[in-house]
Amino acid sequence: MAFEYIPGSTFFHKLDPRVKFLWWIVVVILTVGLGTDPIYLGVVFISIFVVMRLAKIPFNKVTSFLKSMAPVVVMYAIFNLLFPPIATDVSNPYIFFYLIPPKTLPISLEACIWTIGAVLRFLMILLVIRTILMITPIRDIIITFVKLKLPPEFALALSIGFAYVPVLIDENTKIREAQQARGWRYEYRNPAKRFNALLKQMFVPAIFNSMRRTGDIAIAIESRGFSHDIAKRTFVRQLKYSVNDYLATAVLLVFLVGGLYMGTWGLRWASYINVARMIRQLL
Amino acid sequence: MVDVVFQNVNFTYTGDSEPALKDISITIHQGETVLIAGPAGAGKTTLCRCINGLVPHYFRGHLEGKVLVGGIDVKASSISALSHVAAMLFQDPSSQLVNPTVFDEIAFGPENYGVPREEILSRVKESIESMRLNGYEERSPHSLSGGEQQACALAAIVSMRPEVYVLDEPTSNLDPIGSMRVLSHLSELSKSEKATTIIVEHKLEELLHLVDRLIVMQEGRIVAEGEPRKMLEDAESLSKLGLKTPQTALLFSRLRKFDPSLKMPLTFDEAVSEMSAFLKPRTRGAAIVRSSAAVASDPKGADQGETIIRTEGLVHVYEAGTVALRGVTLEIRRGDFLAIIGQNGSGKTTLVKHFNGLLRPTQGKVTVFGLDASQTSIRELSTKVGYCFQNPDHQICTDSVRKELGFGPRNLELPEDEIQKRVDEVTDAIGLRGMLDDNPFNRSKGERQRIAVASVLTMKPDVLVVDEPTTGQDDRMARQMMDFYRKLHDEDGKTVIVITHDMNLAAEYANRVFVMWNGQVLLSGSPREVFAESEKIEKTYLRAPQITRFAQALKPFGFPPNVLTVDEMYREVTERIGG
Repeated sequence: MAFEYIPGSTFFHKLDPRVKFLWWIVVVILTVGLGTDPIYLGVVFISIFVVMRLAKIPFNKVTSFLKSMAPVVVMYAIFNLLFPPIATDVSNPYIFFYLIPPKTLPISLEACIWTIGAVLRFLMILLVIRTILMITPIRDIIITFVKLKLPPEFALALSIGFAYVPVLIDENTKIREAQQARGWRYEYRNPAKRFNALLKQMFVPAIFNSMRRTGDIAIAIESRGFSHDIAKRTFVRQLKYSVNDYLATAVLLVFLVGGLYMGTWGLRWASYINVARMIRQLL
Repeated sequence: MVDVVFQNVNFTYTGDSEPALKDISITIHQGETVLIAGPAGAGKTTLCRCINGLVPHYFRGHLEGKVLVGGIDVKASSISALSHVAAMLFQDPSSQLVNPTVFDEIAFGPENYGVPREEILSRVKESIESMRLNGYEERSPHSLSGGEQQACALAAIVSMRPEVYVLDEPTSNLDPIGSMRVLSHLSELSKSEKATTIIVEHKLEELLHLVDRLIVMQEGRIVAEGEPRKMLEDAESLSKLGLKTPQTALLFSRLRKFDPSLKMPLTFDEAVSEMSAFLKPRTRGAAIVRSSAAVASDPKGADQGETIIRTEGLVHVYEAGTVALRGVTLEIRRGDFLAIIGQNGSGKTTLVKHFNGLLRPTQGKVTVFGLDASQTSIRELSTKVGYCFQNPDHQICTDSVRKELGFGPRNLELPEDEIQKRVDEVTDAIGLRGMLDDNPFNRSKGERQRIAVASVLTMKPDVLVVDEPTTGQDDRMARQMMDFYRKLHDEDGKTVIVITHDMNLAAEYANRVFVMWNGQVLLSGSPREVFAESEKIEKTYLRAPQITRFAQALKPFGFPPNVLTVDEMYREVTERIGG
């Protein structure tokens, strides 16, 4: 499940959700903003696994998540390989072969190295989101949205959506079983056939049920005063920064500044172009 | 004064030709507890919806006359303004729980009305205490059991501090233990609060002694109203209207024709003491001599057919680690009409899902018509064991009744003429002829249920498993449904397995009953054998039919412990008083 909270009482679980959000921002800046440099990528990557380890996230949860993300990651990789945004950086790339001979869609060494970096960054951003969701209860995420001044309707809609995920999963299992009990099959090897079977026999009841449920939810929240006067609504849940939160924020800022320094003035020799150059010399 | 007043109210939903409410005029006074009963389609829910403005502000239509709640004209107000005064609890707990935790759920209402934070915290604490939800604050409401969910939903409206509670079938979707819990909360609510309480329910037996007034609706009208004891005097007409009338009341109303001095009892205990006082001078110990020999042996006959389903030491552990079955060994014979009863989570559904391969045993063995169920595909088993889910809407997946009926056989890749033949046969048997080309989603719930069953029958299974076919239905509809299965059993020779929470129906229709508790079959046998064991049954928080318990409570007069119906008990009593 994509939004599974794994209860725990580790240092990381207890952090204020805003600190966790900051962690994500820092990783995004360090990876997307700056890092084509394999060394930071390595350091950031390891740091994420250290956090996962310390937050006691079971390893199989991580691998099953990575497996479920595989199709998207593969597509992202192919896209980067074929259309590397760095193509213009190098005047004469080392080309392995052309996908469509004679001279269309080249696969170059530079593009390969770029793609490895790009996939790593993509994975890191996903892993951080995943880790945050596993160590943060949904309600904390919602309050963060409210604190970040998003409209309360949006936060509440999100909250209701999250609350319903298990119900919908349960409902879809029932629908699938009801069809299987009438001899229906969907475990086809051919993905197109499988998709077609799922679409036809799961879709109709799933849509009908969720439409009915949406109506029920609208009635339920309206009957509890949801649209009474949303501007004057009380939010009981509050967030408070603790010593640990300040500590974690400081560490993150050090990490960020250090990363920026390294990225700008530091180990420039390790950028992807230099790595490609080194490999070319070996070839 | 927060009275709820209906003045000559007529209401027609947009798109309907027939009004849902016809000429309703009634005043419900502040502090009063009122029970509204009536068959499905009587307009009970529509009446409730008028009180918090869902009618006409969400469910649109033509509203004539006036509905006043604490002097506020519903037509001129809004749902959220009215809900602050008159809060509503709905039938299905899961679709009214919308927050990530129990705490947030209970705080939700007061938060929306801008109640100060400190006040909300104290209200939430109080609600959690009174609904016994301590320790659940940070859990997702959807992870609770049905009864706990409804208690949470109730807590969530109590925290709004409304002056009127409108409770629309709050226990219909719950198992017996869950209903008991919610009913006990309702009883506290009706006593401790000064609030007005309006309850729609089918369970008269458990509620009548709590309410000041019973209102009976039928076809959009109020057909009778009055003080519960007075209303019960005509128990038979209440029963004819489709109300689940207490069995003791039905018995007493027949006996009163002999002796009008017999007082109509409101509760089970009253019934027992009244009957003792009635019998004592008339029997003088003679009854003891008549012995407590059981009522006639089972007339329905059982145990004749060959064994078609057998489980041996069946254990099932779900992926998450929940142990759902702990070693079930049983046999089901051809020609059984089997009722499986038990609380939610006792393993009923897990058990039957092994019969058609939807679940595979973790340990032990399941044999279905000689086949090892763990080695046989769902597809193959589905031609032997048909399974109807509780909610037809989880099953129906095509846009015409004809296609729906052909869905199963088509999955089996049968030739087209065979499919047509089967569709025709089942259509005639079930009486769907007129609607073959209709979209099933446009038919009523009862019809959809029949379509769902029909679409399983075209698979020609020998065994039909039906999961809670009568949940949320009034007594008359439930009986129609059960009569339908009885017909399939008697005339078409199907073996029927019904999962149910309704003890009276299990007693009347089944020839065998399994009582499940904690992943095991605790009791099995004919209804007479099973329900005679009231102590064991009560350990599972189920209760034998009221009339059975009544006979057991009157043991000193020599009543057998396995009376199953009012008719039987009537005979027993009249024999003792000499005609």
